[in-house]
Amino acid sequence: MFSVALLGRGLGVRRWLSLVVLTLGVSVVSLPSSNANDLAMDIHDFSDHFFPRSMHELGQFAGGVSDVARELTKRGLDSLDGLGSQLTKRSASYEGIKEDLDTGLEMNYSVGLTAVLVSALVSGLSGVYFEKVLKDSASSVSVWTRNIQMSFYSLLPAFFIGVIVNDGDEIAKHGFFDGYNSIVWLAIVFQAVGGILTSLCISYADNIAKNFATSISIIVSFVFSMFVFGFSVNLSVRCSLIRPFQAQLTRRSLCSAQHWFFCQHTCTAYPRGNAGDPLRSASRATKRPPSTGHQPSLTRTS
Amino acid sequence: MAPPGDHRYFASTAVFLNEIIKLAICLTFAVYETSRSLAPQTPATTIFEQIYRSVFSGDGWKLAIPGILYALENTLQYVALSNLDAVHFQILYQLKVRRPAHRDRSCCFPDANTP
Repeated sequence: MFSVALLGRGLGVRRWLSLVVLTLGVSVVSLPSSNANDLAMDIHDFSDHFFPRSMHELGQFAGGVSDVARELTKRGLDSLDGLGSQLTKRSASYEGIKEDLDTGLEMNYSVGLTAVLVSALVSGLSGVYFEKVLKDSASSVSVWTRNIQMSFYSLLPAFFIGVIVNDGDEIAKHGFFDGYNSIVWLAIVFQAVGGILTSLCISYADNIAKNFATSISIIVSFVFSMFVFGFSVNLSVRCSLIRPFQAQLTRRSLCSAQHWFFCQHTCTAYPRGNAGDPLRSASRATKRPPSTGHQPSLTRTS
Repeated sequence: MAPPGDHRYFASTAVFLNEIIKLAICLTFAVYETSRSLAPQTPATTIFEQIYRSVFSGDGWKLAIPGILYALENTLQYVALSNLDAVHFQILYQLKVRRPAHRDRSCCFPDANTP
């Protein structure tokens, strides 16, 4: 939508269709997770970590403190499991309830949704703009210099707005590196290296090649999420996982990104746009079947 | 992820360190590139001076806009990832794909209009 307004491009019917499919896929994936996540959080986490807050509280359910003591000695902790699920249903609150319930990792789905949408908007805008500056400038400035410029200019708001204004008080209290462990460091380093590789990809290839890499990373993160977090694969997630990918494939075949991708490899030998060259059609013939053959197999499992 | 301290790490410091690392890597490559283009016995100060001049001259200010947007995007990504799981995040994040795609199609494949 944004590019239509910004760059004055028209959209064809088929591209509108793929856009709608993409949006559908996104909305499908967002529907079940909001319910499933909340239920999982509420029941599992709380009953596992249940801890009686007071003897009075236990007594309310068990009919008296002495009863509780007898129950505990008689049947052991097994009886508490039943109590736990009852107790978490209470709506009472008191000072320090957050610490007791240990809801440090609570997820707010709508906040995440808004953040990711704004982030996607900003990312597309900055990606296109970066490429425009990188390729339209008359002076031949190397990509490293451009990267230095960009990370320098994003360092300033990250430091002054993010570190000092936003979290300044907390950081002063806890220290800059509070809560850091090896995994956090690994994530930061990966993100930095990934950012540099992205900018190299934009400068040497194009934005669309970058997005091709991103769509591979969906699959990778899906698989890892399955193993690491025990993410359950239900029908709707699988369907919606395929959909954006399908939408991408549709669009890719429409705008011939693959065509262009192989152009990049063969453009030294053949000029771009030479439709009849044998090398490219051969590479297309060998490359297309796996991508189209991959799709039905995914669809069949769902 | 279980935080070792009493709470989770600050997202803002993570974004900041991310940029520091990126700056360091790019600076290393820029120094390497510049030193190759100059004579072998050039002092290090000259190299840094040249990099400094190339960074802060010409249309370098134009990069301020994507730079600031990029910092914003990184911060929002941390917010999003702490509220969503990885798969949902990635799929939703694909919404960004369509914008560059349209642009590229029109400027890079003038001959691709006929499918």
